[in-house]
Amino acid sequence: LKSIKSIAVRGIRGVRKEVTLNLEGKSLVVRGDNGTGKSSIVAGLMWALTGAMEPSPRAKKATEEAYRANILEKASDAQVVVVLMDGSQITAIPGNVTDSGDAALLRTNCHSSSPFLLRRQLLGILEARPVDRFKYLETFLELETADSLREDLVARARDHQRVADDKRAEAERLIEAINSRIPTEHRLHRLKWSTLVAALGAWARKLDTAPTDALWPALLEIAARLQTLMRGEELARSRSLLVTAVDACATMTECPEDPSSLADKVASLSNDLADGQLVELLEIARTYIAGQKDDSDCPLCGAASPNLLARVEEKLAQLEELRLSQAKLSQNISSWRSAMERLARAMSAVRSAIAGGALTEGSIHLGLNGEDLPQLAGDGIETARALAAGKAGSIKAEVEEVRTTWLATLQQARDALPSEANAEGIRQLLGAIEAGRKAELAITLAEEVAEREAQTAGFYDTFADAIRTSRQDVAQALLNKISGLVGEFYEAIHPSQSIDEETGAPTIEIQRRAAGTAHLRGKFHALDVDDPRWVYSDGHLDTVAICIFLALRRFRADRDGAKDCRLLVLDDVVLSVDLSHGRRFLDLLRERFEDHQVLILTHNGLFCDWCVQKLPAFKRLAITSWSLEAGPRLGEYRSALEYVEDQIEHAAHPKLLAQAVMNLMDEWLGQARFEYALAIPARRGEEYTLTEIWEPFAKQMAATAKALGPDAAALSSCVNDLRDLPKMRNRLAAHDNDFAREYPLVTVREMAIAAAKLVTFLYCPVCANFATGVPSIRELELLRCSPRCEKIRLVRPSKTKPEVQPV
Amino acid sequence: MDNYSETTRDVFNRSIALLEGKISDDKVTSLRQLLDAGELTDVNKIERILRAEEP
Repeated sequence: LKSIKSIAVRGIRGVRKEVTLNLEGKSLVVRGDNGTGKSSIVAGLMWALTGAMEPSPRAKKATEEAYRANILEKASDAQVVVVLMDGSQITAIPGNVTDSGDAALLRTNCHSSSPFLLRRQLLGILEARPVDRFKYLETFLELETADSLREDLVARARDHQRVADDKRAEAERLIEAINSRIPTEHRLHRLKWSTLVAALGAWARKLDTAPTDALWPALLEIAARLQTLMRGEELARSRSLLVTAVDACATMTECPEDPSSLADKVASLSNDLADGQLVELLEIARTYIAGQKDDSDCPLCGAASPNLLARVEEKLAQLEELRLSQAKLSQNISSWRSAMERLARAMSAVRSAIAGGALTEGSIHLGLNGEDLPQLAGDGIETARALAAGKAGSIKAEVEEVRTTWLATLQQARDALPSEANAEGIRQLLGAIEAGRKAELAITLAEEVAEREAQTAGFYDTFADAIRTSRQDVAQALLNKISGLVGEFYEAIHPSQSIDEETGAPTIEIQRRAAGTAHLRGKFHALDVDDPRWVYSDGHLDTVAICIFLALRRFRADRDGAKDCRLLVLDDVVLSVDLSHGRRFLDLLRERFEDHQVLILTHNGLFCDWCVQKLPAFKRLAITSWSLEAGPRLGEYRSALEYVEDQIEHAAHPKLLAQAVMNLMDEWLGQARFEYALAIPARRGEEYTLTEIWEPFAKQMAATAKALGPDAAALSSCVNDLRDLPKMRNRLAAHDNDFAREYPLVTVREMAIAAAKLVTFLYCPVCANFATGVPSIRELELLRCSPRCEKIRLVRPSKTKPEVQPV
Repeated sequence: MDNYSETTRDVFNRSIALLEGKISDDKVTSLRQLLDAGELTDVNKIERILRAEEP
C-alpha cells in the first residue's frame, strides 16, 4: 500500500512547470544528462517525504538548501504531490505539508530513516570526521526516543539540583548569620545545622555553661534558664546574696558550746538554790563559823563547826558558779541569736532572689535540685528564728548537721555561678542560641528539602547515565551488525576472489569515545588500512559509501518489517563506479532489495541499459530535453545507440546528430576505458575528456584489428572513420552555421554510422557486455562477449582455424 | 507494547537493568511496569516512582 504511484513536482530548482513521474507502484530508472533536472525532482521528493530542502522564503539565513531551492522560482509556487497506490497522498507547499493514511506513515518512516542517497552524500560519508560519521549512522538506529527521555531526565535532574542548591544556599545563609556570632576558634567550616549545634555546644563548654555531651535541647534549656540570671546586674546580685548566706552559715561556728547544757545547769542550780535569802544567810553563817575559837559544835544544828564551814563554802561556790553560768548562757544565747539573725536575713535575701527566678534558674544547671535552695532558705529562716527566740532544745547538734548541709549547698551554688570573666561570652552565646532557636525550623526545613531534591536529582542522573550507557551499548552492537552488512555488500560488488581485486571489504570500527566515533577501515592486498581513502580508487570509495547506505537501509527494513518505508532513491551514485561493478551493484539491488521500491536517476545510458536488463521489473524514463522556461521534458527511454540510429535517419541539422554521437561515445568510451584497460593517467575524480580516452582507445583497437586479421577489418575501418571525433567534439561549441560549414550533415552522418557500427562491433546488445579479449586484450586469441552468449565471437587466425560469426 | 521501536525497548531494558542495586527493587519493578505499559517516556510518572518514599 505504501508504494508510490506518482510524483508530481513543480517550482523546485530546475523544474519550472509540473513534471510527473508515473511509477504505478513499480521501481523506476530515469536517465537524463547533467543539468536536466534529475536532482531537482529528487529535491522535491525529499522535501515532501523528509521535510529537508524546503524552499522557504522565510528562512532568516540564506542556507545552501534554501538558496538552491529558491534560485529560480518564487517559493510560493513550489509544490510536490506524492500519491500512493492506495490513493493517500502527501502535498507539500512552502510552510505546509499535508498527508493522509499510509502516506503519513510513509512520511514518518522516511523522516526517521532517509531513503535518499545523493551523489554528494557519498563524499560526506567518506570525508566525515569519525564523530560526525557516528552521528550520521545513528540517525538510522532510531535512538531519538531514548535520547529524548535522557534529555528530559537530565533536565529534571538539573531542575531538582537547582532547587536543592537554592535551599542549601538558603540554609547556609541562615547558618552563616549565626556562625558570624561564634568566636573564630569555634566557627564553622561546613555550614550545616548539625555542625552549628556542635559549635554552639563547644562554645558553651568553653564558657563552663554546658556539659560535654549537651545536645540542642539541652542548650536550649540552659539558655532559657540563664536568660534572667545574665540580664543586667542579676549575676552580681545573686553572687553577693550567696556569699552573704555562706558567710552567715560559716559564722555559726562562733558558738562552740552547747547552750542547752548551760540552760540545764542553770535550771538545776536554780532548783537547788531557790531561796533568795540563801546567799545572805550563808555569808552570816560563814562569818560566824569562821569567828569561833574552838571547834565546838553549832548551837543550832549541833554539827561540828569545821564541817559546817565547809558546807557553807561549798554552797557559796555553787552560787558563784550559777551566777557565772547564767551570765555565760545569756552571752551565748545572744551570740546565737545574732548569728541566726544574720543567717535569717541572708536566707531571706536568697529567698527573695529565688522568688525573682534568677538564682534558681541560673543554678539548676549546675547540679542543684531545683527545690533545694528554696527549701533550704525556708528551713534556715525558721530554724534561725527558733534559735534566736531561745526555744531550741538540743541546738548544737541540729545546727551543726543543718549548717554543714547548708554551707555545702550554698558554697556549691556560689561557686557554680558563671564567672564575671565569662559573663560577656555567655551573653553572646545566649544571643546565638536564641538566633538558632528562631531559625531552626527554617534551616532544618531548607536542609531537608535540599537533601530530598538532591537525592531526586541523583536518581535522575543515575537513570540518565544508565540510558546513555545502554544506548551506547545498543548503538555499538547495531552498528557492528551494520558493519557486517557493509562488508557483505562490498564483497558482492567487489568480490575478493577476483584476480584483479586488491581491496577488501571495509569495516566500520565503532568506538565509545566521547559521544561515539565510527572509523572507516579498509583492506588492501590483505593488509589492514586505517583509512580507505589512502589506497582505494574513487570508484571503490563510492562503492564503500553506497554499501554503508544500503546496509543502513537493509537494517531498518529488516528491523521494522512492514512499518518500514521500503523505498530507495539513488541519485547519480554510480558516477565513478565502472559498469562491470555497476552490474554487480544492480545484482545486489535485485537480490537484497527486491522488497523496496527503487528510484534510480542516472546520466549514464549504459548503466540505465543494464538496469533494465538486470531489473526487468523496473519502468524506465528518459529526460529528453530541458529548458529554463519549462524545465525537464520526459519521454520514452531510448539507449544512446538507439537515439543515434534514429538521428541518422531523421536529423535535419548536423549539430544535433553530432551531439547524439558525442553522447553515445561519451558513455560508451567511458566504460570501454575499463573494459580494455586503456593506459590513461589517473586523475582525481576520474573525469576524462573524450580526447584523452579516444587516442589510447584507437591505438588499442588498431592493434586488436591487426591481431584478428581480415575478419576485424570493419573495426579498423570504423576507428579510422572516427579519427576526427575529438576535433568535432571541440567544434560543438561553435555556432550552428559555423559548425555546419565545417561538418556538413553528410559528413556527420558518415561519422554517426561509423560510431554505431563501432559500438555494435564491440558491444553485445543481447548480453549487454563488451567484447573482451581472451586471455587478454593485449595477448589476444579470442574476442567475444559473455561465454554464455557469444553473439560476438572473433578468433585470432594464427591460433585456431578461423571461426567467424557475423556481427 | 508497540509504543517503542525494538531498539528503544532494548535501550530501556538495559537501562533499567543497570539501575538494579542503585535504587530499590520496588522502584525497579515500577519502572519495568511503566516500560511494559509503553509509558516510560512519561517523565512525570517516572518522577512519582523515583520520589516515592521507601517502605
